[in-house]
Amino acid sequence: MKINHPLLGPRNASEFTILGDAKLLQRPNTPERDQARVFYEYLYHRDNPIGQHQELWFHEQGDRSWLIVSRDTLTHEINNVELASNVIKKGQTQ
Amino acid sequence: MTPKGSGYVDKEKLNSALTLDHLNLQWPTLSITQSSFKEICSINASLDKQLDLNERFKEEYGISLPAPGKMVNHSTGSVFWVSPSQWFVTSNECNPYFDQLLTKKFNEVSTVTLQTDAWISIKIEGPASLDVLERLIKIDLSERNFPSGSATRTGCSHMTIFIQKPHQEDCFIILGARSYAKSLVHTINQVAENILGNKD
Amino acid sequence: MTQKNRIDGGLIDRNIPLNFTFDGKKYSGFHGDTLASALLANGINLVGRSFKYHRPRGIFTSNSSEPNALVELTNEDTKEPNTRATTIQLFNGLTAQSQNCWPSLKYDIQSINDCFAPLLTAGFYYKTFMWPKSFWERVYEPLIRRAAGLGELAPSTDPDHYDRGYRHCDLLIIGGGAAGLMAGLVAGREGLNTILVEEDFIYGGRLLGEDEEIDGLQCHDWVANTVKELEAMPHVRLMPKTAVFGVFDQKTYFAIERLSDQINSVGPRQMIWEINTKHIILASGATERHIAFGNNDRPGIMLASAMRDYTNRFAVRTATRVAVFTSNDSGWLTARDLNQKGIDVAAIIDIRKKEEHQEIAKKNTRIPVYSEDQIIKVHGHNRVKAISLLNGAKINVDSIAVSGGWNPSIHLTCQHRQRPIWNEVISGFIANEAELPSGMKVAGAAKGIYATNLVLQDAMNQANAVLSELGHAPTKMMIPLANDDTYRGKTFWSVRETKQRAWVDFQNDVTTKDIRLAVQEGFYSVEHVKRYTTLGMATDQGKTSSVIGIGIIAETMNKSVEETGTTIFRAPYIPVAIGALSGPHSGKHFRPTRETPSHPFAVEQKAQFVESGAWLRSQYFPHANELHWQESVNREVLATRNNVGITDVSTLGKIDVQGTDAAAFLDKVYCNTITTLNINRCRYGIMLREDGIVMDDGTVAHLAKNHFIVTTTTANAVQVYRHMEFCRQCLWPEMDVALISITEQWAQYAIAGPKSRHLLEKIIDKDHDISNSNFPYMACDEISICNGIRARLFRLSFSGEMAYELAVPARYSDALIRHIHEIGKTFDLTPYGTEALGVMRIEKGHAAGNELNGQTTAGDLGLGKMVSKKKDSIGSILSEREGLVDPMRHILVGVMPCNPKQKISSGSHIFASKSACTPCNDLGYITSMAYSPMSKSYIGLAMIKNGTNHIGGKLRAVNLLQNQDIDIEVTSPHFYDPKGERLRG
Repeated sequence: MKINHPLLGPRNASEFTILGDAKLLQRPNTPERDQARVFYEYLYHRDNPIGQHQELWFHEQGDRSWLIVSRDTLTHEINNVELASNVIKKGQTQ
Repeated sequence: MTPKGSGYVDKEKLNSALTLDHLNLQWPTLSITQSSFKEICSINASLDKQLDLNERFKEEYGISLPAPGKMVNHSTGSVFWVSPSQWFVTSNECNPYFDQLLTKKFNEVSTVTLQTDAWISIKIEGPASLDVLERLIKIDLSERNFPSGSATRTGCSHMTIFIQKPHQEDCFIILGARSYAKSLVHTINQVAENILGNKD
Repeated sequence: MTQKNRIDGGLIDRNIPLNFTFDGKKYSGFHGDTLASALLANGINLVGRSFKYHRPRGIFTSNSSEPNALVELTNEDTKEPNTRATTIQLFNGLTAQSQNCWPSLKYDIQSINDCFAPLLTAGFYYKTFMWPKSFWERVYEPLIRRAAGLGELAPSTDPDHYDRGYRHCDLLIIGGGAAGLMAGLVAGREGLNTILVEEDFIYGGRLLGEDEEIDGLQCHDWVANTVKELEAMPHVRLMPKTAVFGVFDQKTYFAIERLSDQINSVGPRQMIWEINTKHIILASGATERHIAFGNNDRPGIMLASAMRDYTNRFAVRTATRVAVFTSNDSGWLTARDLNQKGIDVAAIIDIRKKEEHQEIAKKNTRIPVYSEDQIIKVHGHNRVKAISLLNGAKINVDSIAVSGGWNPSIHLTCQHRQRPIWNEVISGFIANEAELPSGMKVAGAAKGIYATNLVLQDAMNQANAVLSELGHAPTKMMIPLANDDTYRGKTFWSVRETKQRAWVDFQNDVTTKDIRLAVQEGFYSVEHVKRYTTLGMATDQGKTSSVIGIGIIAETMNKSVEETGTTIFRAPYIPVAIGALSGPHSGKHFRPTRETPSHPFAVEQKAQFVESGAWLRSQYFPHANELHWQESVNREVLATRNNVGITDVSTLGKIDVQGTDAAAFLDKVYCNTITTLNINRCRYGIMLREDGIVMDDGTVAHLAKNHFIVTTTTANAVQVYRHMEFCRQCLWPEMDVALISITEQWAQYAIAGPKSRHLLEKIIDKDHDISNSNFPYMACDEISICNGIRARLFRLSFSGEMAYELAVPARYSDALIRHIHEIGKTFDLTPYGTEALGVMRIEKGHAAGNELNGQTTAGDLGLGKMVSKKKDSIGSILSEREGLVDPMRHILVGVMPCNPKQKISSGSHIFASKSACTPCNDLGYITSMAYSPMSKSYIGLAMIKNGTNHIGGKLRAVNLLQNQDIDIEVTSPHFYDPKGERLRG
């Protein structure tokens, strides 16, 4: 398997480790102490789609960037790879 | 141990005392030797200070910080890209306080750590170097994909390394973690023997 | 020694004679032979016994689809079973044995199985061997086990080694026959970076066995010229003896290269190449299949194209008098070629009507033709003697060349769950062009195009399409002149009018009767019939048999072949040695080893090493007079606690954290507060997982303004760094903080014991005051030692003694440890290893990996107060879930045997004094255990339900595996210096 790193080009999957669903980026940023349910949803509830899936991959044997990879869970095609930090920055300016 | 003054131990002595033992493996079409750099530091641009760091770097060394996957030489060493906000800077001069020197030069726009002792450096030269490396490295190291002035971190047989292409034909430099030195040399040697037979 | 069946011509090199041995007898052959062709040249026809019925078998094909000629290659005491004689390139000194027969190939005792054939039909083992029940384990199973299998595994370690490589190209051409070579020429001449992979040891594919002309040249010369041109192109790489066996994601292809056919060879024997490409042309050709007729497995019966290969390529006469049995035109080519070489062809039996084969018949004048006829009986046992035909004729022959049609080699088009399409015109399956793997095009016979002229044209078209997709203009090359005879054939699977068994899968001994029986018994899906009959499940993976099987299933069920379909195709296309898959990573070099900075010194000190992940760590340093490791470890503990000890702690992860938000960032990552940590001070820190479970523990040192160094356990260094980068890049990207590992940069030695300060004062430069008042417990600073050598000092203790950790850039580490060892003599300095380290931390009650096991919370470990409620940090919210604060949870406590002479075991489960040992009475388990020289007893740490309330009481530690049931006392986990007075001295 190969992942097309946005800055370094296609790299062998062995250079990366996967964390999981990109939903992990949306950590509840709440100061309330009784938000256990919110955190519970964040940590445990996942969709399990056939088809497009956004995933977090870490380029461990590379530039150590966290990447958001859009991958089809059925065909295994990867159609988009972005630096997580770029995506987050974009989100913040919106 | 008879330290005097700064008490610096030369990097070659470091390698030979601890790890590589005067690495010098020769075949007619290949040689594997120790490469030398005296010091390396990591330099991280502080938050949103990338442009500022680049300016200061240009003032100091006369060159811009290199782009992803690239390496450039400067008057006293080289610099290569490691991550979106991190570079490794090398020096040809001995200085165990190299990080403090760089911190002074680039204060407030960066953070620096000493990295010299974490790395050993191996030079692979000769017409057979690509044949050997294609059995170790998953990246396309051909001239068109990895031209002179390329540098990147990748894997080599379960170990993490940096591989660089200096401005020299048929030559590659591999940086590996100091603790892996024996394993790294063994692996490269084994592959070379597989293709080229026993050494001279 | 003479090769009695050798004839003129061929592509072998008579200048290089080779010697080989088969079943103990010596023979000779030539360079260019396979083992199979050399055996045939020497008149050897019987090469093995079949799997189930032990029927005599001969060589059936001339390539990797071979089902019968499986031999065992041997070299001294190593052997490789189940190798196909048809693909082994003959080398000097080759030694091979036939398999699956005893006492000899000719007289095999188990051939008696053949008599029991009616009992041994498909799925027989589901229906028999059931009664009496007790007989299964004692009688049937051992018997079947001994009879099962074909080849025998060597009992010794594989002496061969294997390699791995990675290549990249713009175009990968799979197959070096007419289509592949043509595509290679087009691509190569246009300068494309191309890799061409060919399974055989020479190029040409089907052309090797044919007598054809291309561009006015003998086709072999055209092949040779083409290969020469390609070899000269620097951007084209030819890989012979290499077979692509798998298609993977993102256009990654795996191929196996046979570097040497000899086992126990000098260099690596095989290697696997991972080929990364942008475009692929599959030019894998087609393989011939047979027809199922009575006793069609007798030695002497061979595929018609194989016979042409042996005749034309290997210059071997495989028989004296041959009958051709065919459903299509290509069988007639065998008759023609044999005739030309002076071999007697007694008959051409074509299942088709005269009008259906009249074109090809025009080229035949001499050989008797039996149209619309079939073979209904084969006479002969160890060799064909004669055949009887449907229409009454009986003909004496010693060989049958059979052709039931061609199967395009489409396997690589279907490894991603695609299904091929049935093409009635060529009676074969071809790929569904709409579903090909990304970037793949199919060319030539692999697509069902057989006439050479059309093959070359198609290859050029596919190559042009690739050029166009890469932005090049199409080639200006002309198609060479070549044979353009249209292929004609009729779909025909089996002869019905026969009383003898008709074989479909030779290797697994599956007959037409088995398949029809399976359908009769209700197995309708091809997947079920395959598994019930084992059709296509042998090492040849059904290459000659699967399609015939599908045809018979279709006929039996009265369905079309299209409706019946194929089974799912999976990699590998051919068998691949497991050794090849592991490549160079085997034995001691399965993974790399990491050595600590003091490793050479430790070796000299005769340390015993332990593997800690990839690291080699000193476990203990035995003295010459010590007979048992316990003696050494006790000595090391006492020496450290009484005087001073030194150990290498460089392996623990060290992460440098810098930036104006460094402290705030660490507040997020650690459950306890870091922003209140002063400069030049350290603090113990716990990292939780987001679910509230403890992930790792370590220390945080505030070295200078905006500069921290955090440590991790050795085992978790990688994961902790990865986690911290996730927090930094993804969760709090607005923070100004940078991380980098400095584990390797700094060598770190722990110096512990009441004399540790005295020792350090000898080497620390005078400008640094390390008195207790100036450098108290948990202090840290940049210092210098030995007259200006850069160093860092941390007053941390894992052992519970007054202790320091001294870090120097690794370049000084060897000189430093030797220097300290030298000056340490006055203080009775003792090097200690991980065992003593472990004893001391258990004595202190310090949680480590055994307790940080992914199930424990900070509260469970008695550290609940560390989780700050005043700030947000990873895991803090979910750590307060009911289930994680339940008072009945397992809590960390200490345990000691009531009788100090008894040894308790780690992993023992805890029960109340009078409880039965059942899961519902289980109160917990012992996590860590050691002999404590300070307590003069074995001690342990344990996780016990409601543990705090058990302190002072008695329970039992039970270990049913070793019959231990020991009374224990539950104590505080802090056995030694619970007030920490020694630490703070």
